[in-house]
Amino acid sequence: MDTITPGIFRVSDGEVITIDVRSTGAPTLFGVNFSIFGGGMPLNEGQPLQLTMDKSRATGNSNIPNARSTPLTFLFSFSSNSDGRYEWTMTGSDGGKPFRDFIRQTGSTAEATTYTFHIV
Amino acid sequence: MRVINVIVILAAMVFAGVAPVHGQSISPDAEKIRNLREEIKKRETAEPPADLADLNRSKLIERRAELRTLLKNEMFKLQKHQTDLGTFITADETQRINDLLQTYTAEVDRLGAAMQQELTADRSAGSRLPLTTMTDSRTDPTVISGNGPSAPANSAGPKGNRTAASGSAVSNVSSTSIAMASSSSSIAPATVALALPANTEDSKETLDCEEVRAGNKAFSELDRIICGLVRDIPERRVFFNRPTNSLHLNTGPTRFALIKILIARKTTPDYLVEASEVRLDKQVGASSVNGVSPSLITHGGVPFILGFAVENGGLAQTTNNTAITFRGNPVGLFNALKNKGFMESVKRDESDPLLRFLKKTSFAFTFNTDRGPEPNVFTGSSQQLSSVSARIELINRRIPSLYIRDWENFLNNQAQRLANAINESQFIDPATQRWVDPAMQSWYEQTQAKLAATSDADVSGVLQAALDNLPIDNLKPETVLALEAIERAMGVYQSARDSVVQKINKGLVVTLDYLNKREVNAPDTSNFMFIAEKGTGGGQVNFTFNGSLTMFNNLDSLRNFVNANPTLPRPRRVRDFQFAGGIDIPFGNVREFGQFVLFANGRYERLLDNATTELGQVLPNTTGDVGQVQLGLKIPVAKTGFKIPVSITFANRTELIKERTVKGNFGFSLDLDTLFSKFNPF
Repeated sequence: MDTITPGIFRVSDGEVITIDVRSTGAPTLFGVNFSIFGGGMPLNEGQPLQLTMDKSRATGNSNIPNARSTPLTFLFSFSSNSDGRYEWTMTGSDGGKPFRDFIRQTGSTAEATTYTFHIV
Repeated sequence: MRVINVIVILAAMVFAGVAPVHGQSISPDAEKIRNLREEIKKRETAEPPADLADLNRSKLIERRAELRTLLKNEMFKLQKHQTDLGTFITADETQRINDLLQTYTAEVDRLGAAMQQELTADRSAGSRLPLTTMTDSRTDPTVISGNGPSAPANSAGPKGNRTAASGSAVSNVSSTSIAMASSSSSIAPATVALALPANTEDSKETLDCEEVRAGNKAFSELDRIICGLVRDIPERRVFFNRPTNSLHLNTGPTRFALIKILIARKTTPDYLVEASEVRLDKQVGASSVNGVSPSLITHGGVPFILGFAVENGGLAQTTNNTAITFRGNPVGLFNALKNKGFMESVKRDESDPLLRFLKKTSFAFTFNTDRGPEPNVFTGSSQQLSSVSARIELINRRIPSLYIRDWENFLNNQAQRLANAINESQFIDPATQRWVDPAMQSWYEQTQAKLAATSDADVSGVLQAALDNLPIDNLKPETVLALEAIERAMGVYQSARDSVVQKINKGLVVTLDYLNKREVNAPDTSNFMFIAEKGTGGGQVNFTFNGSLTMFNNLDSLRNFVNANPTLPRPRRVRDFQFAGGIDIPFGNVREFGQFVLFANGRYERLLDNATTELGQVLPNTTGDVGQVQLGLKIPVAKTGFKIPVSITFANRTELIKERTVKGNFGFSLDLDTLFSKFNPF
């Protein structure tokens, strides 16, 4: 997994991406969902998520030759009133520098982040 | 005398009318403009050593941009003044304004041309970007400039993007120069004109994000989202080691935050635009059985660290004592004194069984300032210490982990549907990383340019001004449809999430409170109180029930008194029992004034033994029933942790006097949790 620029990645077809999310702010019930390739599910706290990048299921265009792109969205929910925070690290099975990011609770609505993966 | 007055008034009116025009040359910005002109002149003619040449050039661009902004502000003021005066403006004034506008316009154009020239020279001279960035840009056509994903508008593939990359490779030492550079060759003319600090004069009232963050008042979800972005922008600049401030569409919360703001501005759903808040169960002041409390009811919650309250006018007896109460949690206070962050304390204590237990306990000390050698002066001496209390939480059904099944159902259904809706939305083109909607892309480029030239301190004003200009009415129908789809999913999500949270907030809390009341001459008493609280009405309305029993600690002094007064009955160990109930209802325009709380309480007390005065005298025939009803209001003091409770109480009698009474009470309370979390949140 190569980070083209923060939030945009180039991965190989079949590469496995591991995402480890932790709640690091105010105590909250853990609430993280992911969505990719038209589906997804909630993450279990303490269990890193492993996703296989499947080019045949990627439907987005790409400006990288012979690549297709797909978005990956994480949705973060908080049972706390304020000061919740999630931090996570993404790594690819083919190497590359781990990517770190975070999100902070601003209110009662969900927070979300969407990454773009160009699958070569 | 009257003539002199008229002359003075007329003179004042004349000066008031003329001043703004002449004020252009003596306005507060005039000095800055003069200094900038001087600095620019010196930098233009300077011959810095080679090592400083780049820095000098970037500073030159920056100063020119600043000067352009100030001049444009001056032009705006002139035009506004001209418009405001309308037909009253004189020919002289019009001439002066036109001259100034012409001068400023020429100077603005000159500065713009000079800046363009510098940038062109930089491009032809080659890049000074770090090697890694250049490598990325050359090898990857998804070119993202140092200022964010601002790809060229008419890029025709990799080559076009590479041009943008070289355009972005101007400088990484100056915020202004980066702003200019990020415009890239294809969109340079439009963006260069906008790559200036924002003129926020025409923006709406600016939200005070410090106030939003402090949480002393209720704000809408929209306010919180905006202030979240304000906080996030500089934070991400540091986190991702970027040279300038910008919106990071591809990391963190930015993209979805903008979508939420668009939805809020477009369709104003309640869950985004209405303010809400409030915790009603915290007891900061003295216990109601203390005798000096102006409240009939005691709440179960306590401050996490320390609360402080001054209350006047006890209700149980006919006294006007002033009580000062310190109430707190030993663990929270210990952490605070050790300078441990609020959140750090909360999280660490959760994992320690002993600390978890101690967190269920609290203490309180109440001082009666009427006691001691200096009445009405708080000395904190043992003489003034009128009560000591300890409390333990017996049942707490407001612990989120008890509702994990409800939460998981919510995550599997409503939350997942929202995640899918967001993922399926096509707001950003994955290849170009541009907004699919041209109006949004244009807004985005302008905002990025403004933010890039903005210091951290000014991000709030610049961003809010930009958000006020979101192209709500110019969005493509496809964009509106996509927003509506997300709004629907968000609405369902929000209802489900609130339902779980409200279930938690409605949970029963039962607390046992022990209070040792220290009298001056009368026998000391012990009071055992059960406090039960239950939320209703979506967790907003709070019901409280108290049941208590008071016992004399030592009957010797009473017996001595009764022995001297044989007509009095023998004293009993149990002094009284009480039941009380109360309801708290938040209301009012919380956005404007903070959170008001209307409260209504009632208490029944059965005095089993004759009442005693503070001097230890037993008052005959004072046994019986005491009923009290209280209506009151807690008034928040904006921007502080203070609240002022005022109330009026009606009673059939007091403990000491068998006469109907009506009594007003007031006080103030401070919850230090609020201040501590503000100053040391992590």
